[in-house]
Amino acid sequence: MTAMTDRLVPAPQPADTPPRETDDTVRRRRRHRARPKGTRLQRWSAYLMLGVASLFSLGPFLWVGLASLKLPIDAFSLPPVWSFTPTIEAYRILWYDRGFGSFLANTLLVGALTTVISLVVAAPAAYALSRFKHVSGLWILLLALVFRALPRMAVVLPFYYLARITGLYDTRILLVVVLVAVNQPFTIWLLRDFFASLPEELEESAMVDGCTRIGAFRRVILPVAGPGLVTAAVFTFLLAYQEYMIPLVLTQTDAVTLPVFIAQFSTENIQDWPVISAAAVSLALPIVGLVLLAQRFLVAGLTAGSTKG
Amino acid sequence: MKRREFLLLAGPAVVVMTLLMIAPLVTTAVLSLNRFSYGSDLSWVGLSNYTQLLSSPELHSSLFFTLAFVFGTTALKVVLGFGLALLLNFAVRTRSFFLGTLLVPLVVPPVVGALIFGWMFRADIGIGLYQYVLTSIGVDVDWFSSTSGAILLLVMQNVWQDISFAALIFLAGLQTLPAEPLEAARVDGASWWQRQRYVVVPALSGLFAFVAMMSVMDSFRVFDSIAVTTRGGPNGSTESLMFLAYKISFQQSQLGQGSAMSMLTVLGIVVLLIPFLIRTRRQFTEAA
Amino acid sequence: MTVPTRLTRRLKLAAAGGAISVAAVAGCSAPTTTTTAAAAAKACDVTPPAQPATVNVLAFSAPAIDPFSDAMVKGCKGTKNVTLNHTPVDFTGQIQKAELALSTSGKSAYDIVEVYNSTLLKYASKGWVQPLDDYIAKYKEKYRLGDVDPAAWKGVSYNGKVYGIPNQVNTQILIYRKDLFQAAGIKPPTTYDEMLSAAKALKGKVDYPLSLVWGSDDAILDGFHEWLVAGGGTWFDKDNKPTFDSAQGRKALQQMKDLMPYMPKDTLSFGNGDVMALMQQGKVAMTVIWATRAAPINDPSASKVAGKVAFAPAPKGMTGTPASENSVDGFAIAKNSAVPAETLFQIIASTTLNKDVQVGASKVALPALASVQKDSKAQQPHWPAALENIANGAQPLPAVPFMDPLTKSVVNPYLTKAVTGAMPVDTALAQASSALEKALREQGYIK
Repeated sequence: MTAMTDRLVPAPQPADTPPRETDDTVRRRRRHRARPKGTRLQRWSAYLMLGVASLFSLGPFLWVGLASLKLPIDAFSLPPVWSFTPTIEAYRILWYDRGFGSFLANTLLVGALTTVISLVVAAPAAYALSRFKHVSGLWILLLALVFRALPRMAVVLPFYYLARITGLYDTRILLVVVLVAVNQPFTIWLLRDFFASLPEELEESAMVDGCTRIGAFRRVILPVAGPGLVTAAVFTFLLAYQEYMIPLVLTQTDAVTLPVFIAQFSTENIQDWPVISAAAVSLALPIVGLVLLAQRFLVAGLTAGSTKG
Repeated sequence: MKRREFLLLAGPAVVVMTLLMIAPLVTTAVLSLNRFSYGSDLSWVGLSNYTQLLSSPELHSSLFFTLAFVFGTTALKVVLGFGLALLLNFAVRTRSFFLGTLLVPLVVPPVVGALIFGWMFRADIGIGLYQYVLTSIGVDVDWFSSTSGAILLLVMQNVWQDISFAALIFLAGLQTLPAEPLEAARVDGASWWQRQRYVVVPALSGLFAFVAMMSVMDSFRVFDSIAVTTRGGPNGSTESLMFLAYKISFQQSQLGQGSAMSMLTVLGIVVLLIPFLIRTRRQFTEAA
Repeated sequence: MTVPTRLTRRLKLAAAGGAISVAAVAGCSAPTTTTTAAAAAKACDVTPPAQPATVNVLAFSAPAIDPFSDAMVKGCKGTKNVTLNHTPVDFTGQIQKAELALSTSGKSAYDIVEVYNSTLLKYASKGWVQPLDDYIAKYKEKYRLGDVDPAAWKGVSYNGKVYGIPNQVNTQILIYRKDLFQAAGIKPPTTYDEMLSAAKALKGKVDYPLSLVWGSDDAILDGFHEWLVAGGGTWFDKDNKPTFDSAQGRKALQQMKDLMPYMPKDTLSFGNGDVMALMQQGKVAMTVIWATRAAPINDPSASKVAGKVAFAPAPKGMTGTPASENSVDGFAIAKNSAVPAETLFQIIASTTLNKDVQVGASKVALPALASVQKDSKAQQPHWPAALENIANGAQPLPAVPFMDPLTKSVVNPYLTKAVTGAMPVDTALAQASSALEKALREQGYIK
């Protein structure tokens, strides 16, 4: 009950909460609710609208993906050419000549490191902010808001000087540390919200039994924090994966990530257009796989945060 | 929680953020009070960078465009995102599939997404499938050479990329709505539209605020999509604040003024977020 | 609860699968060696430095630049005590990174930097790059540096000293559809008026009679430059004060404005690739574009008009100066580099100016070596037009250190407004001139 009011993403629940649901009851309830209650027309129009939305979403990727398999003379032809001789030359140039694979591997590594370190640093802080009933917690949250809103350009020059001075320029470790810092505010925000929904009785009973606060955090809170942590992990990974300005300024050879690598292919060179198309597809496909897996967690994470006990 | 415990748990995060966010931010603030370029010394000019910027017509048109962009994208993301969430909530078995496809533009690096979306609207070239279809049915918009077309294109691009985030948040909210108030409303004879308007939306008002806030923060800083699509054109009508900062910093090598531009942008975001901050503060003081 | 363990197990499986496939592909990414790189490996002639050195090369990726970057990096790979690194960036990224690296005191992040005449002038004027006259004299015989076109040396010189090693020259030539011109019974234009009347004659016979690279954030300045110098106008006086707000300047802008109706509506958002795409699809009858961009027009896998185009020097103005632009591309050595300048000079000069390397790159670049320019085996269809254009006196951008990006970013908005009709030509030029003068004063270029 205490957790209800100090949330940034308030859960839409009335004052008296239903008893905590086990996994089974949730599944049973969902199966009951699962049958769509509309008429056949309603259902089909809903599917139609969703289909249109999906098509609009994937459209550019599908079309550009098709173009990446055509010879340029066909790819840019109007009216669109539907029967053509396919070619994987663009992919060969991207993956073999330019080494897309190694940059992908580096980006995934940087993303994974950033995510892990980010969570290790942010989770305790978020938990602390969720329990610390002092108004300074609010100020820290406000600061987090400002930093979240900070344009990269505002901090890029200082980061460059920092990198040169510390001699850590073009190292993965510095890139990871900077990306962790840049994403901290958002991560703390998400996690704080999640921890606030966990009742304080959980760790208080452990502390009564003799655990320290930190021990209780490790032994009681973290095990049930799975969904929230996964959500934060997915968002952090995505943010690290997509950064352009920071890796541009902080790396040159060893730690270059995908967005910077991709930038070298310019629309100025007509020969690069097929390669850019291949790159778009090469970026989207693994992501599609990852997303189809993770989006259940995303919904679960955001939903579980609002389950009260 | 005792203060000592708080410092122990939150310490590392505070240190990281101070060293790597506060320090650079303060540095940029200090740099914004100087005039300098690559390799030149700092020369103190006080607030004159700010006065010069605030009185320049370029900044005014940039601010106008940015606000229009923020308003347009936020309104669309909130409304359409909620609509998508309702649809996804309705479609149970196919939900994962549809949600997966909607998330793709969100998770691909923004520059790539923006580029291929812009490509779909190119005239005369086969890569512009959408433009081809539109002109075939008689809709002929100059996406790149008319101001309204360019703004519309940029807004669509942004909504295309980020709408799944809003839909996801709203979907999570819809999923945890308790059944009782909705049942009660249905029993009372309320139509679907009335149920949405009087039960669902008020219950999710916090989520609406959250989505709007995130959209405002991100749209205000728009840069990547402009850099690969309109590059500030036509006639400089789609220069966002960050694009203007980029022009000043990197093209005119006025690094002091560029820093001032960044600081002004941060200030602008904070100002726009004041209603959200007040709301959050109220929640904190209620708790205490 | 069983749910978390099931989720985590699925996650672990996916992570493992993903890691394996990425590792497999990453391992497979072995780049292929081109013949130019093989020639460069033979050509690389570097005395190994006493200490192990890492040489970082900054160069953007473009078809005309890559062969020379590769020549250095792949060619000198086997040199003892030398490790060469090169990760291509984009053109604007290169400008940013170069300025950051070259301007900071202490060891430079980049030792070899790709330059073209405008950026080289800027870096040389700020003392960021190494003067090379001594090394040129020393290695003249060994690397046959006397074979380099004098115009190429000129393009990388500042205040009488040479600051870069050129590897190619470039100029803007006329590319036109000879089939369309023949059908309409007209000759390729040699003056502005002929160009305008050709455009009129071709209207209706092709989607767009003309398409020029006039991107409002970048190349529209080059367009203005071409018509300004063709009319005999100048950019700056000897005190760096703008002089383009003149009768010739106004005429040039008006000429540009009059060409707009014959060009695609989106012209002001066009880069080189956009114009090439339209030409390849057969939608454009003529263009004036960099010679290095010409090769793809005759590539049958990309171009519908392969074999139907011809090349000619750019149209001339009243004074006989072509409405065109010259440029020189090369590599410069960072002054604050930790690697001995002589080693860097050897790396660049022995590979990029090697005859076989230049011949290998001749498909995409116009070589700086005079002997290769005359080599009939290396000859490309567009070379005669390009060389004639240079001989006719095509001019590079003014030899001042503040053209790109400063002048471009200040003046372009006014050029755009004038050409679209948003502002009268006279007002636009007057305002552009005063805005530029103000900016130049602020940056200390005008005392």
